[in-house]
Amino acid sequence: MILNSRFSIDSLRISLINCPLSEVVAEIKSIAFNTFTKKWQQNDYQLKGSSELSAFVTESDSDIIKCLIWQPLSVNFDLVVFISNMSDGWQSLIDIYFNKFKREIIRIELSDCMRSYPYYSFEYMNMSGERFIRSMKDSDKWKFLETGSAMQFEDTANYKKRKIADRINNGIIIDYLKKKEIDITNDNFWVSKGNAIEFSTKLN
Amino acid sequence: MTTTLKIIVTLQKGRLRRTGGGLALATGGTSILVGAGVAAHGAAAGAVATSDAVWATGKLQRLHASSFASTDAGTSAGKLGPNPNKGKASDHGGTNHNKAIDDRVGKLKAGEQYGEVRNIRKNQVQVDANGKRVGNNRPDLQYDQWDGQARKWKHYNVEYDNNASNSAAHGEKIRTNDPNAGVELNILKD
Repeated sequence: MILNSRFSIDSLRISLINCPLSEVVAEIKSIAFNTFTKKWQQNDYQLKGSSELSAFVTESDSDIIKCLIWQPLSVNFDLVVFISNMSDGWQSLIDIYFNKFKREIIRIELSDCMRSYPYYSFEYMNMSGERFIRSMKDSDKWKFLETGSAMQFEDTANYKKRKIADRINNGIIIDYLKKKEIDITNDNFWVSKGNAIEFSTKLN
Repeated sequence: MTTTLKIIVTLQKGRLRRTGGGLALATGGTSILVGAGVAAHGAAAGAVATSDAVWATGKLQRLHASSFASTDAGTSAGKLGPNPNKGKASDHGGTNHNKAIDDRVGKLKAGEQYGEVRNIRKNQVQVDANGKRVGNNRPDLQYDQWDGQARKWKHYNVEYDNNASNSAAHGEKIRTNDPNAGVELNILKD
C-alpha cells in the first residue's frame, strides 16, 4: 500500500490540477501570499522522490504553513500536484483556487487502514460541477457520502457494497486516478519534472 | 518530585523524536513516551496533539485528566477525534436546521479569511483546536481559524436551535468542554 511503502504517515491529502505548472504557481501564489503573515518565501528545488515528503506534510501547521507544487515526471500532460502540511491539506486554499480560476482539479485523501479513523475521499471539480465520494469512520460508525453525478471512470457497483470501507478506499481511488492516466504508485510521480516550488511562511 | 517512571504506548506507527523531558515515538504512529514527573507531562501534552494516546496510570494521567475535569463523562479525553468531514455530511436535523448549517458553511467559504480556515466539521463530536476530542456532543458546525493577533489557531463551534433554552444548554456544554473555544449560538426563526 502506498502509505506504508512510501511514507511514514498515516494519511495523505493531495490535489491534482490540470494546468501548466507556471500558471498554477502564479495563481496559487496570488492567493496564498495574501494569507497568514503575508510574508511568504519561495524555494525552488528538484523533488527527488516520496521520501522527502513525509517530513514535509507532518510538520506542525502551528509553526509554519507550507505547500509544495510540482509536475510529476511520470505524467505526460500538464498536471500539477499540490501538497500542504496543513492538517486538512489546506482545503480552503484549493476551494478558493477553484472558485477563482476554474481549473479542473482532483482532490484525494488516502488513509492507513489501521488508523483510528480512516478517511478515503475522491473529489473531482470542473466547470460542469463537482463529484464527491467518501467513506470515513466518524466516531464509532462508518459513513458513506456521495454527491454530484457519477463520472464515466467510476465503478458505481462499489458504492452498493455492504461494508462501507469497501465502497471507496485507497485501492479504488488509485484505480480511478489510473483511469485518468495518473499513477501515484509510479516512483516517478514523486519526482519533479524540473523544479518543484515550495511556498512557506513562519507563523511564530 | 515524582520519581515513578511513566510509559505511554499508543497503537500507531511513526518516527522517534525527543520532546520535552521524554522521548516520543509519534506523528501518526506508535507513540511511546518515557519520562518522569512534570517533565513527562510536558512531553505527553505535546504528543497527544498528534497521536491517539492510551493513558497509563499514575500522576501523568491525573494531571492530564484534571484539565478535562468537567468534560462529558465517558469521553476519551486526549484522543484525537475523527477526521474533519470538511462540512460535507448527510442532512442533519430538519430542513431549516440543515439549511442553516449548510448556509453557514457557504458563508464561511465566501469569507475573506477563508484561506486561514481549516478542519471544517458538520455534526461531528466536539474537538479542540488540536483536533483532540473534548466531548460526546456534536456541535452543528466546527472549524479552526488562524488568530493573527494571538498567533495561534482558534477553534469555533456553531449551534442552531429552535428555542433559547436549548441554545443556552448547547453553549454551556461547549464552553465546559473547551473553555478556549469560540461559540456562536443561533436561534432559528419559523
